[in-house]
Amino acid sequence: MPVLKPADFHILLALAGGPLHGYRIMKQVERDTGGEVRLEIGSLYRLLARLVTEGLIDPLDSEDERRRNYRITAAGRRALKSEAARLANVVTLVRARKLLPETDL
Amino acid sequence: MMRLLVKYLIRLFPADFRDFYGADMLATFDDRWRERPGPRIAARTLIDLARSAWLERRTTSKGDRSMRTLWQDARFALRTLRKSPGFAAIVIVTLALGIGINTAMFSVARAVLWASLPFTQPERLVAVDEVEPENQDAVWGATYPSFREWQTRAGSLEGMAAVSGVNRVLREGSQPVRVHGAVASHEFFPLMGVQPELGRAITEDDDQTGASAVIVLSHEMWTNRFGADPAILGRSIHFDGSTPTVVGVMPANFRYPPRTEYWLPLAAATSPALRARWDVWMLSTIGRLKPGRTAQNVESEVSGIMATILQAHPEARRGHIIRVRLLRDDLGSDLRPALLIMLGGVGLVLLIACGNVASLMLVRATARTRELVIRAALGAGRRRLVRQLFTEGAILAMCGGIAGMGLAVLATRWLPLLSHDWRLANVPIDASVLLFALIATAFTCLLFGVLPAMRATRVETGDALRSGSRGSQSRQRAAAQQVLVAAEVALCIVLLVAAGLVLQSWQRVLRVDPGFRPDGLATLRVTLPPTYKGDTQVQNFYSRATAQLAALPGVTGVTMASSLPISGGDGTGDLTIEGRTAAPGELGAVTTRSTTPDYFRVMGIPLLRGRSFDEHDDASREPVVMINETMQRRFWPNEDPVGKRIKIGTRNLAAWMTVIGVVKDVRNVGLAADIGYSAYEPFAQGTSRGMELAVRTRGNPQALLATITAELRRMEPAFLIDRAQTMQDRIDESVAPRRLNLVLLGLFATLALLLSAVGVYGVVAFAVRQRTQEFGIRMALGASSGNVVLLVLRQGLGLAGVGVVIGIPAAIAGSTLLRSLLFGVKATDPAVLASVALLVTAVALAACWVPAWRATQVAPTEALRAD
Repeated sequence: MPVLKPADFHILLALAGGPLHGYRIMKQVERDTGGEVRLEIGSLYRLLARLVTEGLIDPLDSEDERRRNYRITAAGRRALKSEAARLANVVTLVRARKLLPETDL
Repeated sequence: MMRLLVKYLIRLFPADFRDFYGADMLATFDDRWRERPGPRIAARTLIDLARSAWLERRTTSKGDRSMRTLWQDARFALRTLRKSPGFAAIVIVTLALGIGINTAMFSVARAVLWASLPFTQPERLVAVDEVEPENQDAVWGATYPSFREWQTRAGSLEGMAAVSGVNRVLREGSQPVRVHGAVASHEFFPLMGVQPELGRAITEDDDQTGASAVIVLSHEMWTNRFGADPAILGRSIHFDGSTPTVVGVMPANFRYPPRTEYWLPLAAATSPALRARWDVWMLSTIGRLKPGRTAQNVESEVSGIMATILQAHPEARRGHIIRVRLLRDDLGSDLRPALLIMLGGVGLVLLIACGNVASLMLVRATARTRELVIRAALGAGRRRLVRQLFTEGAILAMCGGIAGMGLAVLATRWLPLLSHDWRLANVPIDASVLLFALIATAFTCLLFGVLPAMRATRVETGDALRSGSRGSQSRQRAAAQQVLVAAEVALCIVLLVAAGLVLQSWQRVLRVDPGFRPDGLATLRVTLPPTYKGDTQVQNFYSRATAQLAALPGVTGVTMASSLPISGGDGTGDLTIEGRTAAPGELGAVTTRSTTPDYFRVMGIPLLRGRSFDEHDDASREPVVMINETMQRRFWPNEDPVGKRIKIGTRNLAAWMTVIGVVKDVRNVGLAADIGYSAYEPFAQGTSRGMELAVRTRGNPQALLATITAELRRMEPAFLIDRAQTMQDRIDESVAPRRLNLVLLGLFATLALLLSAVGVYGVVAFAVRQRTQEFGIRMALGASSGNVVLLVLRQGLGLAGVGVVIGIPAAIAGSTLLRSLLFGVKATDPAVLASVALLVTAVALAACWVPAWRATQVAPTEALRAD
């Protein structure tokens, strides 16, 4: 599994809870990262387009012509999980080497 | 507007991408904009979209030839621009200034003059007022009976309502506060077409004499003073003298009259006696036009109604005329003249900026003629060359645009620091204005960037190589550039003259004698709670309070008046003079204030005749009055007014008062305002719970304000004390709008001057470069460097001269528009005109200095080799 970029990871993470449309993704990512990762519309859709091409997410048809929802695919879920595992690993490593006190995490 | 921009930017994405995601992106933008509109989000979205479109295009079109060329062009343009950072910086700064201040100023104008009001179909709402025919800013409004007549008889109106501003003392928190509200007739809310956010509006049943007291809160009062309490309905509000019950809350931003915090029913809050009078003007009236009718229709109709009213009720006659105008125009009317002038000012700056950019681009293109011709000779197609220059222009325009947007945002943020006018706080950036400024400047950039390129590439190659930068074409271009710069100088003069006149007015206003000594005065507005009943109780308290304050260290005198000078705000009444026959109102209106006996001594107002009040002039004695010099000069020019009897106010209500003295004129309404008729009555005969205190101090009055406030609170904890400030602060506040005008016009004029200086510099520097060879030869033949400097300066002087010759008459013509901003100075003030002409010439010469110096540094040998 390739390493996911942080923004991709957060988009997948946002979609893990269920399909969302553009603005909800923006808000969810911003909330998840405490404002750290901010996706403006242009960047967001470039990422979405790439994730669609890579087969990690799927656009859904919806009743609302204009607002399309996006859904995480099985491959997307796998990528998310492996990235999460990788991150967890990193955290364990950092802790083991006492680079961060437990309470900070 | 913003949406259009976004739509346009989405179109920049590659076609496949756009087809699939375009609509979705727009929808996402809509969601976001609805939730969080604002300049910061706007800027971020636009920049990100442009960047993403660019990146997306680059990645998807690796093999696409046209994309590659664009990329190449852009890189090449950036490289060439980096090689002449001075040029790039000047163009970008010029563009940013032009775009920034225009966007800011027009956004302000839009917010103030063309605001979209939060009412249903606001374009059909009109303000109907009686005004004085010569001075339509003197608005009398309407009397209650006339309002009812107009309401029933005006056929071009669907309906009419009346409102009037009031102040109440609110006692809810730890300290009492004065809150501004309105009384409104029950037609008001339906007429405006706005439903309450909570509860109900004022109904006809509420709007009756003797009805139980109710109040409707504004959203702002509800949230700011009651923490948006959801259980507010049914609660009683503690005002001094009344405790109305909250029946409704209006939605956010619904505030009419401006800044109103609450509404009370008209009939319940005013006395029936006043409402019966045809000569008490206390209301502002609003009407809703029937479809297809205009304000003019209403004006002539109501004027007709008024004529019949005056026949039946002669006491209503004051020679007023009826004025009807759209509510929107009415709201911004006081700022309109100044704002329109400022718009003209920034428009001129934008023109100058465009002229400058055009001239700079021309110079650059000319300097590059040879480069272009060589590239053409080496096989570059004409389209390719034009495109190259186009890209350069576009990059400059874009950078200037972004910087200009930033500047506009900053400028609208800074404006509230210069002026406390509430309308200038929170001005949103207007997207359509921004777009206009961007397009205007981008157009200039591209046109003047590309035109020379198109012509250059049409030149016979050999010809251009031979003539270098001195060909006939460049001579044409130089002429074009000189015309541009001379025009710039002329525009700049117009602005400088305007700023100079406003500066002169400012200095004259500050030099006006206020009629009293303002230095060392601390002032406070105070109101006793209604628990003090009867005049004696109030008088006793105040005499104790003034004695107490007078004993404070550093205090040399304490006095009181119902209102102090400068800020205005006292009641006026019609003058009647015993023994003279005149129709009501014919002699004019007199402003009255009641004062303590030592008022004139403490304030430093000289007594010209007779005596001033003493402690015997109390309610048990016959009423006495003092008048100002202006009144004496008008009504008793050749006799002694002392001992004459006058009435101020409605004839059969007011008492006769004996004139006991005449005092020097005081600027009661502001330094620049007319003095008018003014009278003083003793506090003991005109007692009121609300007064203004003036404390004369030995040192800095500011330092004593806190002590004075604490002392008063100690004496009476329920005392309402507000507007604690020095007299100097009051004066500064009264001239603040004038200062704002001065600062803004001064700023625009300075910018114009700087831009014009850059323009002159550009022309002369260009000419020096073209004449390098000539200078070299001249110096080789024995010309001194002084000769050469003169030669160069003469050119700069020529530009300035042409500018002055065109600019001064234009400025004189234009400055008649300024009249509303001027005070004590003529639009053709020779001192201002002369100093502006001198200043511009001096700056033009200074701008020539560097090129002139450079011309003397030319080594003859190098010059001969130069081309």
